[in-house]
Amino acid sequence: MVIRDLRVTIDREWVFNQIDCHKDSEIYEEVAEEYRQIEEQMYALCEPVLLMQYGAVDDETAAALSLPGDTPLLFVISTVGGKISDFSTRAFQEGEYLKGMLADAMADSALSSLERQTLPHLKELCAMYHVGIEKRLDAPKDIPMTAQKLIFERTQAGKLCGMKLSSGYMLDPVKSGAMIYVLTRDTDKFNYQHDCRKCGRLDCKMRSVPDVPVEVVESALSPHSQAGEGLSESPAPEKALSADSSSSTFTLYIRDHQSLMEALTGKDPSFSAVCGGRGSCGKCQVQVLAGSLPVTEADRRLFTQEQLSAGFRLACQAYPQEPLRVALKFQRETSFSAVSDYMLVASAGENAPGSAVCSAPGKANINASGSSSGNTFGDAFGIAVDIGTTTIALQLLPLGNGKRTTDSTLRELSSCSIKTHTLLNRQRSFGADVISRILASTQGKGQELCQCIRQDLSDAAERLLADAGIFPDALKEIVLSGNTTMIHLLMKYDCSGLGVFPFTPVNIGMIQGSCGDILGNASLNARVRIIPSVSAFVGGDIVAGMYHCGMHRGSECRLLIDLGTNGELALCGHGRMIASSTAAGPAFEGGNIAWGTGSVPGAICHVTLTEGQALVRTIGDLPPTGICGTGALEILAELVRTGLVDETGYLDDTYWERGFPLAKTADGQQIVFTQKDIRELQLAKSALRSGIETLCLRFGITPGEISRVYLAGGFGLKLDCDRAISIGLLPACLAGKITAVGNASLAGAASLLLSESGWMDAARIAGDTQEIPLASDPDFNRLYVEHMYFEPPVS
Amino acid sequence: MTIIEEISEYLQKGRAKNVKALVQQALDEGIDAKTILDEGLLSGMMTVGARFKRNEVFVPEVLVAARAMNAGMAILEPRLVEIGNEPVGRAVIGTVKGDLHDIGKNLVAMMLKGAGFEVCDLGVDVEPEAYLAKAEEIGADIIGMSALLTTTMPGMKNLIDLLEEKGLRDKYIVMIGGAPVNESFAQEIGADYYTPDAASAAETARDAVMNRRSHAS
Ligand code: B12
Ligand code: SF4
Ligand code: FES
Repeated sequence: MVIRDLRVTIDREWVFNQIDCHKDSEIYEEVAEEYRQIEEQMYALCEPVLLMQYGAVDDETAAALSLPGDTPLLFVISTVGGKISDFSTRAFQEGEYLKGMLADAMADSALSSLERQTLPHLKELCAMYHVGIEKRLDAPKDIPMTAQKLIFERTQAGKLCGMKLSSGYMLDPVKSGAMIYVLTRDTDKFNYQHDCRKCGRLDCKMRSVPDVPVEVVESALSPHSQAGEGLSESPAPEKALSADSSSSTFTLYIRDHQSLMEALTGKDPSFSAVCGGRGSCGKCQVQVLAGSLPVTEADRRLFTQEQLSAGFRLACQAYPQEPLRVALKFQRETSFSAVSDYMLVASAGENAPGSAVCSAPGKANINASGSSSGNTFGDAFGIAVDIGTTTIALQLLPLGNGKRTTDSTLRELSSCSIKTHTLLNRQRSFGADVISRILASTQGKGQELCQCIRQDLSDAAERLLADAGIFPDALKEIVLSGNTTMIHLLMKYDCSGLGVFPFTPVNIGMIQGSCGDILGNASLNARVRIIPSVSAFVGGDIVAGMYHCGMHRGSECRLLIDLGTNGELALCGHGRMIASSTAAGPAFEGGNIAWGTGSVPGAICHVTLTEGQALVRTIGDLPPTGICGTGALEILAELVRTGLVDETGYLDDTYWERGFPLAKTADGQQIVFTQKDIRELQLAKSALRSGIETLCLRFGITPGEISRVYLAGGFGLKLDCDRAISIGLLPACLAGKITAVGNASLAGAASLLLSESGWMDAARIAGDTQEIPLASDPDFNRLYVEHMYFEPPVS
Repeated sequence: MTIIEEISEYLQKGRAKNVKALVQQALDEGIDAKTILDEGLLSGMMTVGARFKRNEVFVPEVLVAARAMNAGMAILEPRLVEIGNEPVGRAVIGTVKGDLHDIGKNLVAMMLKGAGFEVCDLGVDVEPEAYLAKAEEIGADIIGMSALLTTTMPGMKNLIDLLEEKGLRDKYIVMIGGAPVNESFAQEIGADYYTPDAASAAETARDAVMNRRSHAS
């Protein structure tokens, strides 16, 4: 059957994309003009023909095509004729290269539009013969090139429209396509599209892979109030990020070469790939309810045979090829607690020891709606930002008629109205820790990572202003505080030096620029300043924390501990400052713990053991969903106290295999604390403890000489210091000297926003602080082994 | 900026009219045609090729630059013939027997011209004998073959076999390319060079010819 009554369309956008002509090109207009000039002519030169022939093949031919014998087939050829190609060839010969290239791409576009036009005819034929379409076969992907000869013959392309076949089995005219449809009695099937999925040419401009719908069933979280919003009376208020969706199923459309996990994080960053989607953390479990998903290497490593047959898979390794229905077996961090709270610390130099700590938390978290209008504070505002690896916290502060105020005003202001905003760092989809981000950035994701944080910061800043009813023009200054990697990613610096010895950063100095330069947002007029860092490992966030705690002043020995993944330590006194990063790992944040989770509602945060039974408390008193960092630490302390974990960290035989049972989730799963979890915490606590002692050694003091310990980070706010001491995380001699300071990085940034002279201090801290590299330190390595155990070290 | 530098600049921007006018002006000012060619047109085109390889510009930018070069050449050509200027080299190019894909080959031909080669494009579906006959006729240095189908790739070997057979293998530099072709295939059939794109094809061709000349002398 020959069909000539066809109307092709040429898709301008497609053509431009095909030849790599983008809107930002200097010659875009010129190309567009050339296109306009030849467009009509190209349509005129198209001679679209569609040839279709129904039939079957003998057994031998069928075998050559790997098909069962008597399968009904449909042979199809489509072409736009040879005139455009001739036009293109001629243009090239005449040196009109652009014209030739455009014509060629336009022919391709016309041809692909023809393919869409085949559709109604295909449907008609299928209805006529009472068949459906099983699949489409293309040479040489699915069938050998020689099959083009078969198609050519069956459709009588030569006789009916003067086509020719080259010795390489190519159709002449070249702008043609040949295919075989395998038919089936199942009239519901209609798989007519050609499938690029099997083709390895990922960068092919013609690639088109239909999105795969995946229905995701998410077990409904118990609804929780937006904890923390507007409440600031509790000592550690937390803010719920993004509200919970009420529906428990949603559909994702998975793009070509996108993993299920990528689609999830793309939908909502609170679905986070803890290991960056490398298939190593085992956190992103899903269960296939309908459809099939191939088992991967990583699945095999993690799951038992039973689990595999029950459909368990890792979402980050899953590339769905067909419509699926899956159940999520992990939680989204809908209300990850991002701490924007901090305590005010009077510097040791000013006040008498003992009274040096302001015990009331700064009311930084108040949402004083309405009161922070421009009138009250004049027309100048600033935003302080802490860019954490996991969360980002922003705080809006009035600068007072553009006049700089002094340090002390932070205290005054903190009792006034200040707006804060916290969000998850969307870079988490590239991995939870700095190392996986560095890795991602060196593997060509630098641009994306930079874009991600720029967008986050500029959206959050704009939102903060809008919420406070402040005009963007009133924003005069932004101060950014973050670890060295976060700043490198923001500045799109080459991160390759950060990940390998000798760990050389590109730039750790104070950076200053416009919102356009640094955030890629020219609509904000503010100046942006970034707090300087000490080294690749001790970043501006620590400098900010040291500044906030006044560590550059006074002579007493004080220690700042940031209880995060990097476990930074800073020790000061007698006019000297040293610092280190202990790389404690994410265990304190619930990372690498089997049932570990962030500080989300339902996370187990307090544990007591009585008669071998665990009594747990969860955040928000909700049904248990996992164990957060403090919970993990408390259970460990309890297990050690009751002797269920011996001094080497060995878990009692009864629980060794399956882990110690803590509680059951709402859907009846047993939450346990495993031997491996204990090992993780042992490593983390030992790293930190040994770090503290090594710093003391280098400083020439004993830990007992430390007069004050500042615990920075959200974890510090909830830490039970006695238990931390009982497992040896902190030396016993520090008991009673520990103060949780909250988000010291944000606090430092806020102070710097208000104090011009403070920048001199910050620069001095960054410049004078000496970094003690621990990895190669023999004392550290000796202590590290010692502190792995739970008995007091025999020194 | 000298007029020669200006020619190069305008060429890189693809301004055919300006290039044309400036080449004429340069000739009128008595500047040596060879200098205009080498330092204006060819050097401009080389810069574009290099920027293309670094992903700083894309195919359309190269196309308009090549078109501008062509416009300049139209003015310059008669004078070059007059002074008996020899091209950088001569090349015969075509898509192999059985294969009708031509856009890739067209781009390679264009870039070779841009590098100062005299190019004879034999089109598509070219028999080994036809490559050889043309190459002998124009005294080519290079034979370039393009193939986009796995099934037509053996056609490349056929030409090499033919050259061997006639004892002419060393006379020509054989270059091959096309989407399914790669370095190891080139080695397998004994081709001299494979390159993945047209810009590197031109560079490689020029270097190969220079190399051969310096060895010969
Ligand atoms: C566009 C295209 C088409 C178009 C137009 C073809 C045309 N002639 O214009 C259409 C849609 C018509 C088409 C049809 C078919 N195509 Co086609 N097509 C392509 C595609 C997507 C791009 C080719 C192209 O124009 N690239 C742009 C140019 C600029 O790149 P290039 O040709 O590779 O050339 C560059 C380099 O390779 C190099 N180079 C090229 N030649 C030379 C020579 C030398 C000496 C050197 C040094 C360098 C060099 O420099 C060039 C410029 O940088 C390729 C896949 C791909 N991504 O490459 C498939 C491809 C070539 N097609 C393929 C096939 C199989 C077909 C069909 C048989 C499919 C079918 N079943 O219908 C038909 C056959 C058509 C026919 N007439 O019989 C296959 C070949 C597979 C194989 N290994 O054998 C490919 C590779 C796709 C695949 N599936 O893998 N095709
Ligand atoms: S990716 Fe490109 S070359 Fe591969 S099958 Fe799809 S259109 Fe063809
Ligand atoms: S295993 Fe999938 S995110 Fe870690």
